[in-house]
Amino acid sequence: MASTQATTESIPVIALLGNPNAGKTSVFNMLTGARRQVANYPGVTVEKASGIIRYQSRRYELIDLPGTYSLTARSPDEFVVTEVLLGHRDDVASLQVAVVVIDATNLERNLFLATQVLEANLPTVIALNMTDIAKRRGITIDSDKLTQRLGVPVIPIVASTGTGREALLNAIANVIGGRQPKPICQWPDAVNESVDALTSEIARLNGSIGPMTPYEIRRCILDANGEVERRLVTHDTNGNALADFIYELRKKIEAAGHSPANLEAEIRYACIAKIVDGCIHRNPAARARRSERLDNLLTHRILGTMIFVVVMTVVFSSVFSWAAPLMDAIEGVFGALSGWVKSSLGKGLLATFLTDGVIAGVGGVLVFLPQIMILIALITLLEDCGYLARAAFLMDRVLRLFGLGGRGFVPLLSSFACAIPGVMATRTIECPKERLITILIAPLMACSARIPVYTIFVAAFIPQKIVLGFLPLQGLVFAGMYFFGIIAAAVAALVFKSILARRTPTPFILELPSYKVPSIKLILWRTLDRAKVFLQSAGTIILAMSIIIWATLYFPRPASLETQVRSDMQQAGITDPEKIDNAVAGEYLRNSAMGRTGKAIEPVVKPLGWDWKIGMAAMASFPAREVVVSTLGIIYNLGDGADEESPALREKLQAAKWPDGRKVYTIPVVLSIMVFFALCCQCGGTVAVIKRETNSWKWAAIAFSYMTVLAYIGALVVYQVGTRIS
Amino acid sequence: MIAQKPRTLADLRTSTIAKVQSLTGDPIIQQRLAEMGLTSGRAVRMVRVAPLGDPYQIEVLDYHLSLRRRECECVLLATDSA
Ligand SMILES: Nc1nc2c(ncn2[C@@H]2O[C@H](COP(=O)(O)OP(=O)(O)OP(=O)(O)O)[C@@H](O)[C@H]2O)c(=O)[nH]1
Repeated sequence: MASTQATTESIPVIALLGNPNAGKTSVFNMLTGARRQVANYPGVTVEKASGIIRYQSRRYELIDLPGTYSLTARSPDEFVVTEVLLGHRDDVASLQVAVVVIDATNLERNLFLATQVLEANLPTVIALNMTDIAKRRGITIDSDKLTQRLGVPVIPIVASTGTGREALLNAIANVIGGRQPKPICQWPDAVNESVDALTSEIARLNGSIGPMTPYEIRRCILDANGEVERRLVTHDTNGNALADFIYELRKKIEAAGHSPANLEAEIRYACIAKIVDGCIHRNPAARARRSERLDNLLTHRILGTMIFVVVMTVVFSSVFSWAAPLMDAIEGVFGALSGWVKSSLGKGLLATFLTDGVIAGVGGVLVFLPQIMILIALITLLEDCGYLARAAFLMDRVLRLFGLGGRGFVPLLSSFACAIPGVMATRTIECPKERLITILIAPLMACSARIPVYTIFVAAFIPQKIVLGFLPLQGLVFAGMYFFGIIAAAVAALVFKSILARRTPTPFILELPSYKVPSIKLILWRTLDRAKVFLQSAGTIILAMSIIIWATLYFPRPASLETQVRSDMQQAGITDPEKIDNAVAGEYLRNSAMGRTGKAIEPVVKPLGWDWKIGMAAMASFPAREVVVSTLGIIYNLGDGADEESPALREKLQAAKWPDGRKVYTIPVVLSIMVFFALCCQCGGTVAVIKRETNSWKWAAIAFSYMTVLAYIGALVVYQVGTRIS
Repeated sequence: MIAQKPRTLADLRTSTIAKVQSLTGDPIIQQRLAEMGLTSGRAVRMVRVAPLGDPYQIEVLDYHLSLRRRECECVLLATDSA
């Protein structure tokens, strides 16, 4: 350990930047051998990925920064790239080199970010990627001339095949410790004067604001409502003085005839046009129109929509049904393992801890892997070939009803199978706020774990009638629950949007990349990467929850309870050992910590029309909602084998009565239970994954609490209104 | 009407090309659009409108970009190219 400590301190740190889709991940994998460590930057949702490069017996650390079109930062998430670049983060060592990956097929736009990075005063290397595709499209780029004009090495590479790896590494090794690049763009006097003015103003104010580079000062002036400004202003102890000062500077720039909002782009693109002039040759004959022809089909009003429906049906059914046999297999293996532990260790504390706590918990983690891996593989496939952006293009209008964007469609659709892969799939949403809202509402979609809950109650209490001549009432109620989830999600999304995105409008900007053949390597790599991340972060949380809930259902466990039940049964003349066992298990459960809490909180669930048994079963299902069925089974002395098809459980529920003889499960009560389960966040895995994906317990707690409160209110309204009507 | 309202990207007919004159509207949206290459004098081509009427697909700087109507209305077009 000590030796690695020593080496990590001295090894040079390199940052990798680039536009989305420029091939950054491929460059990362090419340089590091595809081994990376993932964590999160504290305080933001951005993933912190790093790996080690070995080159000529030296080691370098490579930091993969999130793909971005520009260093303009409007949120803490976007600001991470700038912070790392300028060495302002304590958790990342200062950089020695910046490597900017640019896409040769889209040179000018990619150079926008590159020219920004050149102003960060770091030795820089530009990796000119996708040169093979450029060649096929008749684009030739003179990289030597570019090198000369930009003043930093421009290395042509093909990241997907590894071509140019040596040259790139060589260039990186050579620039370390070398000269800082010269800035490319000249700013108008009005801007330079404003930068000087703000610099001295900040120096004049007390030292609570750390030193800022001229680069940041300029960002602050040019980015209205930007993150640099926000940080400066919140540190300002003189009230609004600094904010007003910045406002005045912008006015001055405007008076000089520039628009602060797009001045930077105007200047940079003008510089870039000069730089690329004569460096890039296009052969118009080879121009790719194939992509556009494919678009004519895939975004066609009728054919395109039909293809979309087919593709999405395949995605949905694969997450929903292809995963099922694998999930059954995992459950089967863990069930067998439990059986084996029980038969060899008996029924003692250790055996039940191992089977109902640990084995069930580990199984409960692994059971999500098939869905996660299938969905991530399919999404990566669709993203990589370019279709996902078209799907977003087609669906944007619909998603806008939710106040969301087109990119939210696939994550939300997948959430009908399971919210866990759905939440993980939101990584394709570029706008952080939109992504957050999608994460928060995804668990409201009727996931497959709600099916057993709806099944048992619909089968037991909704009459098998045909309404309106042809519609089966049971099916109608079932479908109604799905719609109910969607509507609740739409309302929640609009509420969250009005809270979160009130201040800053987020433009919908979606690049539609050219279609291409997807890379199997990348798909496999990303699928395994996501699976690993899920196991590492969510896995431990799910396991811990499962053990805690097991304990509250198991303890306390006085032996006197069992003796009592057995003698009662004997007096009643019951000798069937299974019945006695089930009665004992039921008595233990009712007296467990959870059971007692259930009884204690009966007044809380009474307004929903529930008795304490329902309340307790609902509480025990917080780690996983489908558990309610088997918990009800145990409460009603049927043992732990009851499932949603079990006629015995159905009869018990139909026969359940209050002490005064009234039936417990009336139609309003049944509907109130179903509404509760539709809205409540009863899924430990979802909470864990939200924590992981938003990198904060805060959002996990918000998701959990808003859904639980909503569920309670929904159930309350349904029951109260229902009883008044009937 | 033609003379009254400035022509924006949202008015550009499918498959036609025009030049950007300037941007207007919310500064944040202006800045984002400019960063994506919609600077003054730049040629843009309207490729298509999504089947549901929004968003739009445009071509700028050799790549394709999708913008909503609201964003397209922030892009004022030069009048000379019809
Ligand atoms: N033909 C070709 N394909 C490449 C090259 N570099 C990357 N690709 C492919 O381009 C696609 C996107 O590459 P990624 O490495 O995922 O791009 P990225 O920049 O990480 O994209 P984001 O993850 O969206 O930021 C993958 O299918 C790669 O295989 C290249 O030089 N030539």
